[in-house]
Amino acid sequence: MSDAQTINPADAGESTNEHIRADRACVGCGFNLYGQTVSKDPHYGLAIARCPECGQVAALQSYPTMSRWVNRFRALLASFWVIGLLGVFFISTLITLQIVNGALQLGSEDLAEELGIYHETWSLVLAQQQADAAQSDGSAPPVSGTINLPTTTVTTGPAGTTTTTINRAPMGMNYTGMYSWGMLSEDWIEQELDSTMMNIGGIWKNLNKEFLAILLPASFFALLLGVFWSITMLGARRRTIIWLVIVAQIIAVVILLAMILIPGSFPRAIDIAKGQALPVIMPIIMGAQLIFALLGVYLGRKIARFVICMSLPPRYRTSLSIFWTRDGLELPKPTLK
Amino acid sequence: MQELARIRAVPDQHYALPIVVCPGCSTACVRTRHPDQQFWREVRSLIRSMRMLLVQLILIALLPLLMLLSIGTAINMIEASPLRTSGLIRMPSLIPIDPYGVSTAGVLAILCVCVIRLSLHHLRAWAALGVLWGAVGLWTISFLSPSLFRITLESIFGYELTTARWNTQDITTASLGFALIFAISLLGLVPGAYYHSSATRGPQARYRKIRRRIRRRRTREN
Repeated sequence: MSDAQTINPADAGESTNEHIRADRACVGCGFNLYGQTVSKDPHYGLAIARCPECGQVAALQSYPTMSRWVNRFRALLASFWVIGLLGVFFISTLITLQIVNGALQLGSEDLAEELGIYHETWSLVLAQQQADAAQSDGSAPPVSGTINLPTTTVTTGPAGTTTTTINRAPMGMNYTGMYSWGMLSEDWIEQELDSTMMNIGGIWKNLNKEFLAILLPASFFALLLGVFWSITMLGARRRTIIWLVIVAQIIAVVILLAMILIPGSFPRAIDIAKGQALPVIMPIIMGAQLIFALLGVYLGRKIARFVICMSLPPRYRTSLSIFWTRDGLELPKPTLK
Repeated sequence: MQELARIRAVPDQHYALPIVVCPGCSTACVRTRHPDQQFWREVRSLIRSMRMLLVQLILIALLPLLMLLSIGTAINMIEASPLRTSGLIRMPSLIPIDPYGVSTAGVLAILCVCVIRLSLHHLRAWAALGVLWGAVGLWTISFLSPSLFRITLESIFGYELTTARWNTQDITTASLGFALIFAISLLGLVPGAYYHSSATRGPQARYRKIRRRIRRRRTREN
């Protein structure tokens, strides 16, 4: 037993009938001194408390006294930190949203073109019928000429490959994507959209599979995001961080659904196509993002610890020891060369 | 009121606490480090560590790019070398052999290993080399990943290949380039070790050596 642990009756001090009213760990053994009696020591008149476990003296008066500015600075830094994290949360949600929106745009271009062509054909036929009806009534003069409807030519190559060529003559121009941005009438959407989707072979067949290429940057971004949250939110448990990632995804989904499914006054073919492709493309992209974000959350702190150990000499690591202590690990000891 | 800052806080005989007794009124108190000072000391230490980490990460990220540059030069050299004309590697000669380019690539690789050995001096030589080549591998994968991903998708969905096809000759040449630069880069360990020892040689080196010897002895005893 050391000197500090031996309680000499002469050193016991005069009791002040005061007690420690806060958590205060003993510097000797770590015992919580909460509730211990405060006494005046006989040598210096210091207010002290003794640890009942190891006898270590804890002085309650120290110089210099605690400064309020430390706590103020800490509060200020913490508030900046929280604001920064909220900003990152907001921006990352928007980026997630834009990634899915980009995939939708890319994936539904072909479908939009098809829908646009069908709508154009339907409009021209309807106009022709109306003109014929007016002519038979005698309310309109006879119309000369013919309506040039969009046509599709399918050619079979020598190796059995088929090439589909669409003649986009009705609008007088012939370039890819010209029908995607055309506006669709509400009547056509109500009456013809479902049957058109069936005629052209469903959603998956008409999707531009190039959208799958977005999976690569989307997954990488989600992984980085997961690692970022895992490293920056050291106060939270992994489960909490996972919920944060899920909430960000849910917000992105809600905004995207609101953007795409609420029809505007003048719906374009691309908007309708995006709405049709949404149930297919969104789960694929967001599912991949969620999986990689969770992977990032799971591996984030491990990656950070590995990078710190790899890059920093031992004496620089102590400032970043929270990456170990937070998970109940010990700071790695320097290896002997 | 008396200034106690200049009075030495000797650990007292009863409690071993750093106690300062005021010479004027005999009031005793325990000296602690000022909380403000302590706080900023911790912040400065954190900033120092973060700065060091940033510099190291930049080095670890950029040095592999220089290595890839030298690998690219080596690949060009192999494409234009007699190996190709002898029929071992059948590739069209696009770039003539440039002796200056080849020697520059070799020196660059050696220099990269020297720098990484110095900057990661806390790691063993093989570990520092592993970090450098691991980063080279990661960069290579990141450069190739769009093509790999596309090819995977194309093979799954049966599309027409839109990316450049790789043939076995490309892969062989690239592997030879990597192997050549890897072999040359090993030479960098020798000057790296020399510079490392000269950088750590100083007034504190002797004490470090003594401490290391003590640690070793303790480890052996345990």
